[in-house]
Amino acid sequence: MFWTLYRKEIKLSLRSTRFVLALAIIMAAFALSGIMGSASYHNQLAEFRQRDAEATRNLMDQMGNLSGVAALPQPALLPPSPYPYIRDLSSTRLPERIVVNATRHREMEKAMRSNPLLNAGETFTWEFILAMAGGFIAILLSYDSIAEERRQGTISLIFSNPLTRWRVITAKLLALVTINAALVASGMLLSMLILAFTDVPILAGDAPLTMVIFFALSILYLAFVTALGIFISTLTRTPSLALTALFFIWVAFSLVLPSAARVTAGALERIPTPDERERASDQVIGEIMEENNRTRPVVNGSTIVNYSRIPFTAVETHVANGYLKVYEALRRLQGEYEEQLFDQGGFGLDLARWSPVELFRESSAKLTGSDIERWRRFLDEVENYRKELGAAIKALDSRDTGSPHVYFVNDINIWLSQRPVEDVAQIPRFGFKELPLAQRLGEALQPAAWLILWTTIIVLLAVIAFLRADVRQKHVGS
Amino acid sequence: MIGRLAALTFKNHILTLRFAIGVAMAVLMVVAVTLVQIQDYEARAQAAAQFQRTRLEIRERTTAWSMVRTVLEVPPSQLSFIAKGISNAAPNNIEISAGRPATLLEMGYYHAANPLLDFLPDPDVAGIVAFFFSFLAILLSYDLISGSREQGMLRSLLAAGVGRLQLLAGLALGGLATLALIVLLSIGAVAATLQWASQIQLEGGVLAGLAIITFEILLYCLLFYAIGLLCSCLCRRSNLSLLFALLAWVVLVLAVPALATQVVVQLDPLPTMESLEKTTREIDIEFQQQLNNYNQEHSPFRTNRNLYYGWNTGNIFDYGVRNAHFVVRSPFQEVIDFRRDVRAFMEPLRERAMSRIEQLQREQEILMNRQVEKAALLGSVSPASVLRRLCAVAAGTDQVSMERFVESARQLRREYVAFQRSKGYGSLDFTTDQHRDQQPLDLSGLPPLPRFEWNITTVLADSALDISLLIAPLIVIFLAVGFIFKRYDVR
Repeated sequence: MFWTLYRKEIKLSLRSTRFVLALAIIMAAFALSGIMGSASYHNQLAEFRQRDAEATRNLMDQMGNLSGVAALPQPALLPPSPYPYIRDLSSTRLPERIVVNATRHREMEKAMRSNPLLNAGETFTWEFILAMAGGFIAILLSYDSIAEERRQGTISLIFSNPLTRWRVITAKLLALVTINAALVASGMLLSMLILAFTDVPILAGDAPLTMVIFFALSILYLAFVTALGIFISTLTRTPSLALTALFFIWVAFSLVLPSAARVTAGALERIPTPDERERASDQVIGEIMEENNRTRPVVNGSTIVNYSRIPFTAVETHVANGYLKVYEALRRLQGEYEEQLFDQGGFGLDLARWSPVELFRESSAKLTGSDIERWRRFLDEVENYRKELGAAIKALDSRDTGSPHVYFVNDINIWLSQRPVEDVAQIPRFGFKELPLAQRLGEALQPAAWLILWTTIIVLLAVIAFLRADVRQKHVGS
Repeated sequence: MIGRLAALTFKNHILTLRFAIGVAMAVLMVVAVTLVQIQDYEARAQAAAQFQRTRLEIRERTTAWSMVRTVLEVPPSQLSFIAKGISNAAPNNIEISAGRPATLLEMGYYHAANPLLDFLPDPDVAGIVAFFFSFLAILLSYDLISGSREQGMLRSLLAAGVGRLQLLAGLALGGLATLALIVLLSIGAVAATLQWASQIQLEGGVLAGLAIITFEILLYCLLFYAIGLLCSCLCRRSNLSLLFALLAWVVLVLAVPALATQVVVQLDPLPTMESLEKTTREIDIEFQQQLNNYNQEHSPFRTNRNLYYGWNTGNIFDYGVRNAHFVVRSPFQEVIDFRRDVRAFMEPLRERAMSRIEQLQREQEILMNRQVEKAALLGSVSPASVLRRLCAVAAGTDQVSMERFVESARQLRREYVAFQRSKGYGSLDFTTDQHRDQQPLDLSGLPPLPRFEWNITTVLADSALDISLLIAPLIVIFLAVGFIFKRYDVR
């Protein structure tokens, strides 16, 4: 009997106009997403490779003309997200390139990513389609599942069968989730076909498994929305009221809560103003320079006063040591500031977890390795690379007898070493390591667990509401 | 008759539960967003003022021209709560210096918000209206024809002698009145919030801006009301008309705006920053070579070790001859004389190299602006994109305002160069120690910073095309509704 009801629900849904519309929306959206995702994948990868090659060429150009490895700024490029068709954050302000040398402190704000005039907003990825259009379709398919049956009186007919209410609602929920899953699966398959035909390696590495897990996450999210639809449908008297209420709840989850989270994080987790940061760095620089001049009073800032009695390299080394301390302090300040930025961003995301829509988006982001942590890892790796670069340059410098053995560079002091570097291979290059799937999955599980909790609660509420519901026919509007 | 029908429609609308919930949510959301965004504006304005004060203090002590680093800041907009526009994503200040070009690429992100918060949406009134008010408008109109037919009211009305076009006019006017009520209540709540919770005065530009935005929002809502009405005319059952209306909403509000930008970025990508840097570097190397050659030929020391070279002090190329103390065995006066000769020879070359770099950056800037224009053109299919752009224009946070800002920075830089020349200051003076123990520089007559006033004529001129993009489909849809309803089977 349970399966009869399940089949009846599926048949009814399949025959309805709204299913055809939902299918049309999903197929069109996923087809577009496939086309855009493929273009995005190829373009981003080509651009990354081009930039990497150009960076290497720029490096070679400099080798011939600049004097000394110390002066070489090295670009650290963040590769594009490996799955731009599943999830791609298009913020124009998050860094994807940090120019670094052995001593320079990194500045993530100055990294220009793409056209800053283009307010990119959302990109047409699977995750976006499912979070917005998918959620919307799940609402459309479920909003009248109980209210309409009650309006037409067919629910009484169902109860005339020897079937418990528990089974009725489970059959309805299961049928709707199946329909949603079929819609998503067909959409994803279409998108995958387009991607495969346009040479996107969707079967390489852990891409297939990532897609399967993403599919499971999508079904979980759509199950949540469907359960919510059934719950509200049970509580309301008319389908149109159910739809209105559901839309308002959906707006609250997808727009109001995330916005409120951003605003609250901005208000509660304060970050220093640019003016405060400037003052802090001025103070640090002043203290270090004062200390440097006191320990060996030949230096006033970077200007050498009493030059005649000091051997040339000793003076420069002393100035250089002062600068090294300054750069170290500035790096520390920058690191602290970045921590504050991450704290604020992380706090915002934590608050946004009250929204199941955001839980789905966050778990997709973590699964594809394109969440906030991607940038934290990028900055950490850049810092490690800077140290590696410093060690390599120090080693090169120490072999160069003509060098003053100072491996730092101040922008105006590119004359420190006079000899062009012969062996470019000795300069380490930056490479960003993507996280393995197991680790990404581990991180995605936490928001997914919250989403499971949400879904369980709403399913339970829907069941309880349905068990207690008055199923008699109401002649609304007559 | 039309008046009575309109009044009836208006009454029917405002008595529904969806209207009550919708209005309550709309007012609540716009008030919350306004409260948040005016805090943001006030913090930005305060930070900008503090920043300018600090810069002025530094300038008063300046003894060398290259230390006169005036920073021109994109003014925080009082109306940014309506539309943040590009104010979060775009850089917001530029250093006006005689030695550096004034282009978008030279701009900095001084007061920009935490980029990591970009993972979450930044709400503004335009966003709420684009997303929520449009849905509310559709919800009001999707069943006006199909729902009335289902209930048999349509037949009764026509039997009572009401003309079909009269009925439509009544529905449209009633809808307009309802939407006007929603919009006025919301904007009224916004104005009240501004009055009580902020320093922003409700006068002049703010008031005019709010009036223009109110009109635009009303047009936008009416357009979605018309779309709902069209769907209602196209279907016989209200359930189906709701589906079509929602489909239109999903496409116009969610899909097209997300797609437009992405399509443009994929089809018309910008040259990479690396390729720009490469060309810049070539100019740089050529200039450095000229400096070395001159040194080899004319220097009393015959070595390049006495040269320094780099990018600093607000100049695109900073170069010169090191002070005597680095060239230990050289007579001091000889170095000073040689430095003067080098400058006399190299300054025109530096100016030329800088113009070439400025030209390159300008070309990139023009491409960036073109990309935005193409995205805007593609996004014009969506009334939501059009409305957001209109609100950004009214708030002064759009791309065109940014272009104007960069142009005024360019103008100011030209004035600075003229001033510098009239005073005979050298743009590289910082790099010598000649200014030590000198009196602060005479900066009387320094060109003042441009003022960015809200101008109603500019706003209206910039908005005219976009407003027509809302009005034209509105007329077309109403004509289509009239045409279809004439043949609608009311049984």
